[in-house]
Amino acid sequence: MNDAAIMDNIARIRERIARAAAGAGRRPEDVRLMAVAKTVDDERIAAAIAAGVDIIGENYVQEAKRKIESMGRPCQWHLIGHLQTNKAKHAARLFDMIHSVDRLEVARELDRRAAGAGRIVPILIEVNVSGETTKRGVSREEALNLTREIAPLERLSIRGLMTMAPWFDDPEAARPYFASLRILRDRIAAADIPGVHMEELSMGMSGDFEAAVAEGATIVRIGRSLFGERPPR
Amino acid sequence: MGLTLSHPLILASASPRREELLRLLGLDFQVLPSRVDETFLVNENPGERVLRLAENKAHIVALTHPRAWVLGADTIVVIDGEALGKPADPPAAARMLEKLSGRTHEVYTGFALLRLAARFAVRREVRAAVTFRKISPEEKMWYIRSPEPYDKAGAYAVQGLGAFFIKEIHGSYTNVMGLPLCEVVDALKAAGALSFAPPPEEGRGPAG
Repeated sequence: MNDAAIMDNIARIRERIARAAAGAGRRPEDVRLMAVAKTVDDERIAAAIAAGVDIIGENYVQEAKRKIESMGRPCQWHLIGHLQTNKAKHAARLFDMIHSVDRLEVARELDRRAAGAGRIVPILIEVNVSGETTKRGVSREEALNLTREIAPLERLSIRGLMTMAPWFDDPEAARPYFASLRILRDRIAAADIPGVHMEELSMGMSGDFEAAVAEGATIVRIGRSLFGERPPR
Repeated sequence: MGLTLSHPLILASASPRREELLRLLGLDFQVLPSRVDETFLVNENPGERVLRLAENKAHIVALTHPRAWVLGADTIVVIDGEALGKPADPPAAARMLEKLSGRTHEVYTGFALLRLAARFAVRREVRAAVTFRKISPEEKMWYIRSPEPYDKAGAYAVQGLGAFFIKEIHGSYTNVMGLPLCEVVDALKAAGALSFAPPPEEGRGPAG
């Protein structure tokens, strides 16, 4: 896929975001577009950045580290993949936001490493709304408790929630999962936990982002529709 | 009956008592039981527990029925700060009845009403105090040999043979049965799920 095709894709995605936002009475600029760059080479990432994506999303810390070292930081880099404790050191230094915090111990390690790096790291709590055992994330019912436990960690700033809906043929079928995350977000916000902000809802991917935007997504994570199918690794 | 629902109602519960109670309202609804993990969480108080399980039950159904009103509920019996769930076997039922005998305990029911298509979710917890008279050993043996205690929190049914033991109830009877109807109706009304059409005989009749 060449640069022009990537630019085209981004324009089309922006248009669809704008339409979904308008349909829900929201402003398109309240939805940030993340290009999910797992296995995507630097050249195509550069094209996406040039075409105006807001965020580059990475699944693996090592891969992100290499890319950030070679490309610098022309836009935000977020971690969306599972974070292992032994990768917390680099993660705390590299990312503008980490979407995949779902355990206290990983949060503690991240907090410790963020202190070492002299940073405050914005994080999202990853929630497993569907309850599928194949999915990562804290359960809906434990999300509030986990948030309370992480809130006192001074080097982490909780900014909202992230989820991944199950895959459906019909994207509308994913919508209740997004509605559920939003209800949860509102409930956690209402708990008024000091230091906890609940403005971000990271939800929606290539197959279902319009439903997510309609339900209040503030970050959509697009890979396939933006860069094309991934080559097998 | 003149009660109309704005959208279909689903009761997400396997309990025949709850179904029976909800039928009393004359509402049309569907029953779709959902299985949830009923293990206790550490440091979870009884109120939190019934709300959590009630919402879990409703949530599982609501995800695939986002346009419907989905009602879930969970009930436990609490005595001396200890929560009694459903007894697994006759010895467990016997222990529960011994604890309840001659004393007052609390029944907590939590319910959750969801309609995900409208991003609607409310939860409420309702309590009632129930006083048992002393249960003799023979009565206990007789009761635990009946099928009644085994699918019920606290090992008794207020509307069944368990009525035998009950001296007094403070609070909602339907709550002790498993679904506090008064509060559920309030919640349905507040949500805009219910409207009260006037009975057909009243009013002025057809215009003209």
